[in-house]
Amino acid sequence: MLELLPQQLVNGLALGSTYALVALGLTLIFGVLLIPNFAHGEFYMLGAFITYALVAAGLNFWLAMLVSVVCIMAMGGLVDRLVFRPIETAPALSLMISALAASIILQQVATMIWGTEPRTIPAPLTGVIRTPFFAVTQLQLVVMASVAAAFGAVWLVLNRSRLGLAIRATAQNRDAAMLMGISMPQVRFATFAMGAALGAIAGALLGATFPIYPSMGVNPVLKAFVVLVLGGIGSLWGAIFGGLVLGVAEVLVAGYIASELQDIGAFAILVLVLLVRPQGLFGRAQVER
Amino acid sequence: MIAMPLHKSVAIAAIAFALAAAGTLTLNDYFVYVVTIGAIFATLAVAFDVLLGFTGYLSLAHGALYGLGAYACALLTSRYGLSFWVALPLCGALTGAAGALIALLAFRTRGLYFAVLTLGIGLIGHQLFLVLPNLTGGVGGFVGIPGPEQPGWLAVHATTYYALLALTLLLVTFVCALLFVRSRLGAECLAVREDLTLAQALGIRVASARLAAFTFSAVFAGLAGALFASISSFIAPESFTVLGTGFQLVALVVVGGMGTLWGPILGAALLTALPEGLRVAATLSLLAYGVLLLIFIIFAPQGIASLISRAARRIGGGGREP
Repeated sequence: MLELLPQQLVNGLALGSTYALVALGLTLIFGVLLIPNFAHGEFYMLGAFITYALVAAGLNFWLAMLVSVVCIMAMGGLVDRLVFRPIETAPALSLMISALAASIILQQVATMIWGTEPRTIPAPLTGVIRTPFFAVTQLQLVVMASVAAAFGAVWLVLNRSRLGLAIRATAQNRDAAMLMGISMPQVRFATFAMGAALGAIAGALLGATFPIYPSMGVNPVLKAFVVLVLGGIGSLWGAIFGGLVLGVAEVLVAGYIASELQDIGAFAILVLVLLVRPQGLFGRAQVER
Repeated sequence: MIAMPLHKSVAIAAIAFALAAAGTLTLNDYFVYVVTIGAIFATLAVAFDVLLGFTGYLSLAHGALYGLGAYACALLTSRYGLSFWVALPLCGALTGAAGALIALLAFRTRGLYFAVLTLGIGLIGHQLFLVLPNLTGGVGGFVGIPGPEQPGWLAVHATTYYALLALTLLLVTFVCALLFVRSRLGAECLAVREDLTLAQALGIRVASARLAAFTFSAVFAGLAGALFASISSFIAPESFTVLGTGFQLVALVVVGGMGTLWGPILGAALLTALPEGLRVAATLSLLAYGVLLLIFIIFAPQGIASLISRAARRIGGGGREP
């Protein structure tokens, strides 16, 4: 059993990378705007489906992914405008409920367009790299690399641009930021577009490995919430770290205990962490509105 | 809101029950089934409203609690040969205990963390229904659950009998919920909802109030599940998913009107019975749920109940709210 460990770890890191990618978008939106965006899973799902539709229409995979990401960025802005902006000042409960509603609506629309039957995107890369200890597919490497790239890009935008400054100011204190003349619609759009883009990238890449279907976003978004709690809400490092930890933990549970316990294991970790630290592992005192 | 005297509310509920019961006698089998399902969901919604509407905590674990009641009833009646009438209170006690346990864990957190934690518990519950095939029948579901025994003197068709049972359970749940929210505990729950810190500062036993509300809603969710299992004779994990049932409950309560108890019944009637009655596809009805939920949370967060109250006041020339 133990000789399989390096391979398990690689698989865990690959799985964890996708969790990290989804969680990164979720944590961005939650950290800046305090919106628990359950519909983030649908950004992920639609990212995969639009890529699928474009590839089926004959487009190159990478180009299709790019177009899909741009579409989902626009959709992210639209979802914010229609679903969250009208209840900007409502209590957190209303935001949660409207996020759930948005998630269901997008899922059902996708079901009406594509049906519930799982589909697959032809993988753009099929090569496998073998080492004496483990094998890794080229696609897994792309996923891991894109997490690093996405993290770098988000970090650069947040820390080295005027827009990022505005976003960080909003995250710290929304009212003060507005008093300083920061344009809230702009910050909101930028935050949602970035978050949605991260979700869409994850969806397109995963769609090339696993079957895609309209409710495929549910589990990843729930796991991303687990990651959020593990890593601390609003922390980019936390999202990456939490995602990788969760991925490795799941693969180890599946490999060494029982594969059908994989999901239960993930949610059990969530429950345990929240019990020991109701604020999350790295969380500070809770932000309440 | 000025509350109606208790006996008056109970009387109105009893009259509504009698009308609904008399109505089912005239319907054909299919619509009787629709009424049954509608009443079970209304029961769930009323139980859920005691938690969501009166304490302000959004739980996504109630789909699993409903399922726990259903599977417990299935096991007790088919494998252990208990009568439905013995199994029913046992199921209520079991889900109540499970609910209390979940509450003790979950109330360590609040706000989003509470929703996410209960969501995790709901998902674990749903997964357990899938991965314990010895107890639950796994993916294939649990087959051959005996129906509730019908007393000889009640000479109606079995489907009608089931509808009457479901309506009775709804009435009992509604009256119990009414008694609960009018009690001291209910008032304390409201204080928790309005301002947790202030409630604590005033010496209100915050922990016991919200624990009571969670346990209450769990007991009645379990009873609804047990009745559902017994009259359907077949149950499968897909009936107890977080985003199916758990989300549906939120929709019923919000669209109907949080914190009114009678609003969620309207919500259930509208959202469960209508799609069944009109025979719309499942996708379309879920889509409608989502759209209605969104419209209500944005434009009328107090739900249908508040729209009706407002209209009634306008007609009645500034009379009391019902």
